[in-house]
Amino acid sequence: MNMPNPKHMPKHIPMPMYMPKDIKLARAYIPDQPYERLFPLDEALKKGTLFANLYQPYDRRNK
Amino acid sequence: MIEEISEGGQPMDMNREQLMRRIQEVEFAVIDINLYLDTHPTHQQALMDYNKLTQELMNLKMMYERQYGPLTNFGNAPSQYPWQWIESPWPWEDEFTCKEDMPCGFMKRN
Repeated sequence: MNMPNPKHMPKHIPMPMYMPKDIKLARAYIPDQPYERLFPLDEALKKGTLFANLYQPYDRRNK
Repeated sequence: MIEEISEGGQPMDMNREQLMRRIQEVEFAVIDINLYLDTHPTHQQALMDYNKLTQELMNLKMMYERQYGPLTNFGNAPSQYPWQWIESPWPWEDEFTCKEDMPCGFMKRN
């Protein structure tokens, strides 16, 4: 089985290089979350996450 | 790695509002690291940050409760005389916990 086609991945998410080689159809794979880019704690509380990697607020203009 | 940030200086110098806000910030961070550790139980840096912030959280809560009364009831904190739990404001009730930049419920005070 091939790696997922990059054309079908959202642009802001880098292609994970650590997918298992034998990925199966109809299975969900979640990239490993690195422990990095931690917000300062006051910012984290306001943004709803400690991890900048996970901060993906909805864009109000895109309806 | 958690940055050393201590808004409003040392906990000893914080007023009630600053102390409560710091408790909220640290408790939120601890929850998020807790969730990370659930799926990465051998991540040493995450565990160190968790333990460090847990210690800070315990200290902050102790400091708050000593000065302003219990944060939670039902046996989680002792009370001075008279019974402190019914004293206003409750920890979630004061206006400082509901700033304009952080929408949340608001209870009316008399």
